[in-house]
Amino acid sequence: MFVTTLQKAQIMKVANAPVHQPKVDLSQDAWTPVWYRKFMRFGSGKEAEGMSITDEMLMAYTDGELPSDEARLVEQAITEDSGLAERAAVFANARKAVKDGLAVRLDDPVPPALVNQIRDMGAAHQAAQGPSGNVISLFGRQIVTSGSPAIWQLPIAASIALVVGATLGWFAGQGGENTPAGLQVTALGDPEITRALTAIPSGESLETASGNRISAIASFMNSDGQLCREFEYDQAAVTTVVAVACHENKGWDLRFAVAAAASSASGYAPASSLETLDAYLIASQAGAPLSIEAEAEALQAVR
Amino acid sequence: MSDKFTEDLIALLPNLRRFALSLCRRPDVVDDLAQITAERAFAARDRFGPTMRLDTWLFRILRNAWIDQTRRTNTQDTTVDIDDAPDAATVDGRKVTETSLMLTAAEKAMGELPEEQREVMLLICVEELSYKEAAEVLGIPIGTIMSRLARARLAISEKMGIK
Repeated sequence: MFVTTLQKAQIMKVANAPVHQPKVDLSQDAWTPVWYRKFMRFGSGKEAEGMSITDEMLMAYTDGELPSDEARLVEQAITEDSGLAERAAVFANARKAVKDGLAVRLDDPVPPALVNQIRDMGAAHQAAQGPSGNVISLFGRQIVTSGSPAIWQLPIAASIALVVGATLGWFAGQGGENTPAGLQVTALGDPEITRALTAIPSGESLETASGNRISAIASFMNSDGQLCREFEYDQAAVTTVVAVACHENKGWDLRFAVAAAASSASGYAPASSLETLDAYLIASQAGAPLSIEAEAEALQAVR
Repeated sequence: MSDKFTEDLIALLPNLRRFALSLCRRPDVVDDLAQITAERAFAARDRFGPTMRLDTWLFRILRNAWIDQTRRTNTQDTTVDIDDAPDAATVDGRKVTETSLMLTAAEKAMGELPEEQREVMLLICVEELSYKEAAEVLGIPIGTIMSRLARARLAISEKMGIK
């Protein structure tokens, strides 16, 4: 019934085995209580304080999959019953044995023909992308909050070519002659855009007289302390331009724009354009999106 | 020069091939599965978002490609539900695998498991996916994941003499 020092050491080894670190920050979803209750009802394990500890619970405990409340209960049960501790150890040890035993497969050489084939697929796929901009895969996005303004962080691919900080004077009424190579932004000569950027809160949109739509997506402060707005310009369901303009010298300067493929039924740009936008936001060290109140204040200041 | 998506996919080829081997148990099929997975990954690339994990996404594609392949060969015989059918590939495949590859004791033990247990073991204990991620790859509820995983580990520990 009582646990010896040696058994306590074995238990702590099982309990502390770092077998699983979740790589994605998952919140405690609704599924957790459901399966826990289910196994409690149909449990076939040992009794401990009137609660049945099932094999699945022991296993989940060693895998670090139990929420902290349940984990504490299992831990408590294990310290009081060495049989449970040994059973938990079986699960942990089986996991380790299979992980170690299959690790050798990662050293098998990958046939070069397969690698070349896949590179060719990648190149063919890239060539087929068309004028909607490079599709750049940027995963592992995190938003770091640490007191100072939050900053989007991503690994930045060296091959990204972005238009950053160029003052193009679009909204002073000039035409499309200054279009940076590779960006199709001839649609942005609409003077309604200036009005929209100054007036519309993020999340709303404006229909222009010509039947186009300007949707305000988010506002943020850039690294120069300027108010910037991310918006989309839908031209009569033909193209969608995703753009960022920043307020400088009493006017709005276009800082970034990419033409998306034909806009979807919802009027929002497809994911590939957003990846290019993400890359720009990272490279220019954009701040986190402003709250409704902060945005309203900032817009008031520039009117 | 190749883009990041392509290079990341290529970097995961050892893991994909290991998963493929555990599913099909035939070294000559592994690279076919890897190639089909890559084709489908490129075709579905727009659906891969910046917050997703590439390995989890690719494992799902690979596993679906494997299901398609077994369904194609199975329809030539009897019409049996894929989950109930005996693991036909293992019977011949095990002989092929064991003679052409030097298998560790763990691999031999894994080879004796039914496919549904082997795949959860590989995803969770070897590739270290969470229960939830494995459930997404396999398209089954987490409760099912856990019962298969527990049975698999008990069977493995018996075969390998683990205490």
